[in-house]
Amino acid sequence: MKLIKLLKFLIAITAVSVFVSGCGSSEDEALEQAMGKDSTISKSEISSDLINEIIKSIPSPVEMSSLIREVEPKYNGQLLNPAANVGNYTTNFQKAVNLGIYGTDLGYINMYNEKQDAISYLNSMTKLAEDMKIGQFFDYNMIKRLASNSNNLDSLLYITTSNYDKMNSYLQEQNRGNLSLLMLTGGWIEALYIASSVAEKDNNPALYERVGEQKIVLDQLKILLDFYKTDPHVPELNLKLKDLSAIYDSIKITTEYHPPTIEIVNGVKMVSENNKTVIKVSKKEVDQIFNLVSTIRQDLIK
Amino acid sequence: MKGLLLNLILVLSITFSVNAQCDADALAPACNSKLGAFTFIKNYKLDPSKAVNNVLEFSYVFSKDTQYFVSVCDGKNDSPKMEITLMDSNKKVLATNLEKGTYYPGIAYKCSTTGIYYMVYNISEASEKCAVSALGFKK
Repeated sequence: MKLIKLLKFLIAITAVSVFVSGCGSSEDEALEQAMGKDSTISKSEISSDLINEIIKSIPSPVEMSSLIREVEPKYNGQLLNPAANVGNYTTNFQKAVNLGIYGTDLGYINMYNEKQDAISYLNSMTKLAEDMKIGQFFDYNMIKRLASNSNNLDSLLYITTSNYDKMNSYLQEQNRGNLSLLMLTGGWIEALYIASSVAEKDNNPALYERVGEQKIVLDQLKILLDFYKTDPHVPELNLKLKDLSAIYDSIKITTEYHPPTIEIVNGVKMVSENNKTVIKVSKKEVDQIFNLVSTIRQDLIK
Repeated sequence: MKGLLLNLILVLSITFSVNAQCDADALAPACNSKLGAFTFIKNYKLDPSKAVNNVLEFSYVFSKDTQYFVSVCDGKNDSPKMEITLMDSNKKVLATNLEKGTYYPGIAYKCSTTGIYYMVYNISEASEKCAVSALGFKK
């Protein structure tokens, strides 16, 4: 009988929990809307799982670096935040944002196989990670070894991505998810800065489009930053991104849908999307984006 | 009553023990090597304890004029019986790795529309529920 009473008690507690957790905040609803989720998940699950999901959906800066490497074969270390700036960063906000910025810089450096710069940036990243008490997830020796070997790009990307995922999960668990988001935002701003800088100089249509399509990622980032608006530094950063968003408003992305083509090639299923997407982005808009993102970045790296 | 309680504890212990055994990290390096000419982007851990009705879902922003490869590996089978379904931002199904009863170990997807894409993994038919997926790209 005691067991039955216990089970009844557990069922009652569960029912109350489900009811209470069903009353989601507006931030949760925005997140759910963004990810097309069912609104019956509990609040705690929505908060951590959805945020993690959006964070993981943000494209890797490596994709951008790879395109830049294709367009501009010459390495330009002047584009990057100097590794020596690391001593300037004293607050957790500065450390997190610049850890993300250095992460993107390291991705760019690795694409050009600039081993000496890779070590300098690794040292700066290690210092910031240790200051933020997440140094245990940064496998310096392994990354250094892989960065010194030109044939290990995939392994290097795997280790750095895996390290970042562990930092992200740990920060979420420690209720420091704001730092995780700041790292991500810093990395994205740096990638946009480098891409728009090269696009502006080279007038490359592929890079113009890549800069233009960041409109989609920017929308995702703004949702995440809204969620962390209680962090004292986040509203100011979000405001700057909203200014950037105002420029992006004039960029139109249109898609004409056509069914995909499917074929099996050497035991692999190949699917080709046949949609026709047009990203209308002008030189003027790329210039505006470059100018604004340069100003935002300058404030962050000083 | 004591017997029922012991059974309940036993079932819970087994459930937790099975969930704790999924070490997807250990499967990642071998799975990543299957990306071939594609550059590694990230891994997704297919942990059965996180599945809802045997389904796990992840999203990623795919870029126009880029080819992506989504693979799945369980460390034992070359072609695990896991259905990967790729969906667009409106959750419209674009492709699966299942064709006439055959599970292909991955999908190569040539993207022409930048946007959020969903990778949905159904592990209900899989002999090894714990697995890892690797995502790679090439221009």
